[in-house]
Amino acid sequence: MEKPKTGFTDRRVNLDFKKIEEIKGEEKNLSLKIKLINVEKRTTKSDKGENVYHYGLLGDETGTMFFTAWSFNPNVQAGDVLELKNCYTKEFNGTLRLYLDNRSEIILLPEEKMEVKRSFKEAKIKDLSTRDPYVTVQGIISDVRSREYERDGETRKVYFGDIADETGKVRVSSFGRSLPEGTGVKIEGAKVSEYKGRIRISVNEKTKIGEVNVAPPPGRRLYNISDLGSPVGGVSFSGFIISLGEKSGLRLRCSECRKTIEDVRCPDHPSAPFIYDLFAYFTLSDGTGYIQCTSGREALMKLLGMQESDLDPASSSLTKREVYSSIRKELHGKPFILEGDLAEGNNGLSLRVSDISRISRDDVKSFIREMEVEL
Amino acid sequence: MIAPKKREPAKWIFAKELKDCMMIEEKDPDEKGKPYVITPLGTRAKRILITGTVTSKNSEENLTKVAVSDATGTFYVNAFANDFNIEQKNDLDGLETETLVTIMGRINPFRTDDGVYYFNINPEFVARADSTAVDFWNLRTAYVAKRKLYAIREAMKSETPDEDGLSKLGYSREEAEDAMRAKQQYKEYDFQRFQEVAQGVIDSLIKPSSQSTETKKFVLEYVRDNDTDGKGCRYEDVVIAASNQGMEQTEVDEILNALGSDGEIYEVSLKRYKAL
Repeated sequence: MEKPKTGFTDRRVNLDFKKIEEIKGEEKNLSLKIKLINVEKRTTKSDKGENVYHYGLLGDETGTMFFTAWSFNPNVQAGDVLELKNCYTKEFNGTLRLYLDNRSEIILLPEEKMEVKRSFKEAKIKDLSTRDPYVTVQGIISDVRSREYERDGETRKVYFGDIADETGKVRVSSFGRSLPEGTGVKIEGAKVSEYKGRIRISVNEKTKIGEVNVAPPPGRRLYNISDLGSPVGGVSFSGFIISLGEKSGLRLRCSECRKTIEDVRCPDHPSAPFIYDLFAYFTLSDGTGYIQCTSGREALMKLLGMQESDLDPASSSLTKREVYSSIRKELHGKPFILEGDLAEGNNGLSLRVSDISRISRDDVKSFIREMEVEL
Repeated sequence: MIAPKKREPAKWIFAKELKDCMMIEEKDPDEKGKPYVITPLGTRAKRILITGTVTSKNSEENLTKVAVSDATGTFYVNAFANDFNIEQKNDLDGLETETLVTIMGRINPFRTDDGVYYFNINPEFVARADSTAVDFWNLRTAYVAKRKLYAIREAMKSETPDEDGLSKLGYSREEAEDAMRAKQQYKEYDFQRFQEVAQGVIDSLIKPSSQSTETKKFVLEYVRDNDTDGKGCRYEDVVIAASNQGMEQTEVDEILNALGSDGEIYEVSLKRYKAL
């Protein structure tokens, strides 16, 4: 029997909700019922002022998709089930992405539950970014340590280590589950986050960890400065050092608290003797860009050919001017390979250098071979 | 919070890329400093990093002029005895010809009434280099140039190229922007010739042993003995003389590049060579 006309339309009956797996290309006027898995807020600044937008991951029973919302309801949070109307999809960085703008509607469905079919993009470590917060990564686990902590009156354990593939290395933390030292693993559903300017991944009870055969990471992962956009570790760059910070060189530290001291005494521990330390900050240029670098004691000692005893105030007297001049003479205007970990800061990416080596004739030969392969 | 001021990046370009440049970006009236130079490969540069051999030096009380040759041509470096440049002038004064150097500096363009551009470099630092440093710079500069040339080729192939399309092909944002600039502003430029020059630099590093001592000696002596008008030996003359000895033009190019890298010869002006 034909329904009597009421003049009202039940929009939920008439709306053509699409499932994520049905979206194959760029589409407009999409309506979806989804669960919000993750949402982040970002503020951009331009001449016209501040702009706020949200981005993250959403999903339904058929899959997951990343989204960017130029206009968003700030009360909505991860875990909420939502009806989205008037959205559109567009390709961004080779992946289809859902967009919401000021024409889109976001309706919260507080009573609804939804099981999301999770699928995780396989990512190389150098490509990890908080814009893709859940991923599958493969690599070899190393340097595993653990720490106990209290939660809800219970003692729990968190394991830390590094995971490295042929493209980079990041810190991995696992709550409750141990990490197999020296073993190749595939981690499905690792959560990507940034802590103190560095990318890290964490695994929780839902994350799958399986052992797999992984080729051992190469000795050196050499990149163009323009290639990397994420603060990952275990990377190398080659180029000329074009500037050296004026405050590079010798630092005095308190032997008690290790804080840098400007004078010969620590204000907190005036009776504690000082110890020598080395620090340098400089800029590396490689023809594709430049990067600010910082280097500490170990790398600089190797560069300057210093021994531990040279940094012992009891047996050695160094002046700041001497040490600065030595570092400048060795570094400035010369070509090096720098290895270290990237970190994101107010000025963009910087490199925390763990090893500095002067470019040798053999390095040039090896660059030629690598270039022949690439070009 | 005040946004940090970005450092002006130092571009790595061959002397040929700077010498062939015919474009200066118009400055905002309020903008301080020299304008950006737009090179044939689309490089937008104010500051460059170069290495090469010092081929001449003219030192006066207030100004020191140094010519630095790489495998493709010559850079002209000027330092004045003023507050900003005195250290660099002293460094230039301390150089002798045939010294290998690394120099970073700002490009100072000069346009003649005929519309021809000349460029000299005001150094920000001058450092002595060794042959490994020079080879490394040559290699990476050739690498950077070749990637730009590939991006330009892609831009030329497409009727409606854009930065996003080039980025999708694997080029960096800067390479894509440079390629678009090159396509728009240097449509008639001989990119093929530049490709050969860049490849010649790489070849001279890859297979220096393929050039026999005799052929290198022949070319070097020919350049030395045939600077008939004092303006340098002509490239065409070298090619003809070498072909009479059974050498291909590409081999001559490789030898000239290798001799340039070794500091034996330098390109004094377009396709004119002088021996040191």
